[in-house]
Amino acid sequence: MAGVMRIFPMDEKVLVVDHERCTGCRQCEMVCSVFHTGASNPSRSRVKVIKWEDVGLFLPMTCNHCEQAYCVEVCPTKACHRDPANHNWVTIDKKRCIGCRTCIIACPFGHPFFDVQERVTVKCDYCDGDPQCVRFCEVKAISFTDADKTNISRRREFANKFADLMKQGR
Amino acid sequence: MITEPTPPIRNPNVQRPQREWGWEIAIYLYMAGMGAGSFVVGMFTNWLENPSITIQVWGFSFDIAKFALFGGPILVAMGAPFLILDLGIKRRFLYACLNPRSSWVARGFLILSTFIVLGLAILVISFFYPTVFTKRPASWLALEILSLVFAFATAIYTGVLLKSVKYVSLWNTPLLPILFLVSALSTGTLVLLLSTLGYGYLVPRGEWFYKMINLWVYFGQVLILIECFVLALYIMVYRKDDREASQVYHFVLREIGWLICGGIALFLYAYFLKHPILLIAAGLFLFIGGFSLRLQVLAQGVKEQPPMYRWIEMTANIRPSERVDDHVRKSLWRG
Repeated sequence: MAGVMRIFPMDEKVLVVDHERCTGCRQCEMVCSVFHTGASNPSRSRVKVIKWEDVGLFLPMTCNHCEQAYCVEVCPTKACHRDPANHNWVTIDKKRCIGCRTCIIACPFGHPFFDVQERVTVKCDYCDGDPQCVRFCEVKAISFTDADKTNISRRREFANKFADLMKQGR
Repeated sequence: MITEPTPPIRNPNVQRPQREWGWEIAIYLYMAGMGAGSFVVGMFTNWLENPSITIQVWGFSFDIAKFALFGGPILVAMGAPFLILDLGIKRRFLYACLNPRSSWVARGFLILSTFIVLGLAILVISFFYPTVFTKRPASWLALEILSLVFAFATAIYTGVLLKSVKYVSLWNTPLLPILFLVSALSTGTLVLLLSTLGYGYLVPRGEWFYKMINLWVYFGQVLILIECFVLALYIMVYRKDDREASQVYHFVLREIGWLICGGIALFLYAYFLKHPILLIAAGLFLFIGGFSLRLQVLAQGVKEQPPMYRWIEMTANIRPSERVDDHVRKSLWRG
């Protein structure tokens, strides 16, 4: 496995990130912000590239659409909710969001972001089924693949490796 | 060659303290705790001693002692707008109660609102109709008990709200609600002490005055001891890497410092010198300590490292470097 980071067994398709392919160009951030806000402003993007610059490693972080989504649990207004009409993805209804940022605090992956211009919290919604980060990633570090058995076996492999490393006390 | 440093949001080696909840939320938690604590202590005092200072205005009698005892809901109501101030879109604040099934923010909204309504009802009725305490009908007793339950819930909720955040190890401990509850009671007791002291300059000081002051001084001393004990437990239970633990250790020590100063002032007042300046000093120490406790607990909230970061560091043999960035931590609370 080439460092495939995160796959989630939601309905149908999920975003998969390969950190070994990522060059840290942040094209994904750019197209994400253009698609969602109309402005080329990475600070308003729904994907953030995390950098280990000293060793040249980069990891685009997106929403995991977790099965037990803490952002959905803690949202006081139900703005952050599962959308049954859209593959049960976790989405934020901007018209209901009050900008309390509780979801940002609750998410273990630090994902939902506060949009300082709209004054609400925003998160990855897979661009309504056609993720722009996948379309524009030159090196194919992000892919939008089926959450099928292949992914499950990869995830199991990742979990086993991680458990082995933890046992070795590294 | 000097390169531009990686911004903290993209740098996995810097585990930033949360910056979503700042001083506004600290004030909200502090005022809610202090108001609810003063109401709880006031209610118990009323049940034990039933102090009363009745004044006559235009033929009507008002009990101004009850105003000090049950003034807590006013403090809670004064703190609540700070939660609204923290929202991105303030005009939508009423939406904050729509998900009480799983959200502690929504539950808190309902708990605080109910307490404010019930507490203000008690305050107004006891102020304008002091005879209610002599007759004490069953409905009034039910209202007293219900408001007391909601006052307790308000005081403990401020800690439960933070405890519900599972990935901040400093917050996710059952000791935090207990700590906030005891702190709420101790600051609430000092609110009663100082307000009664203020009354002492307005109305003649009778036997009630010294009885109340002495009672609350003893309450305060006991609560300070319990709070010191809970704070000590808090740091003993908290286990993180050395650097973060030392940060938390210093803030806990500072909190215990405030408590000890307040405790000494109360001790001197109780046993050596009955001078009001000692009560004012104790109040200042405990008020600053109580606010600083909330602010520091918020400011020290650092999320645990996501597992994928750890995975990458392990596979690439990157030694986890600085985990908590002092510079970022300090700059957070400037603005």
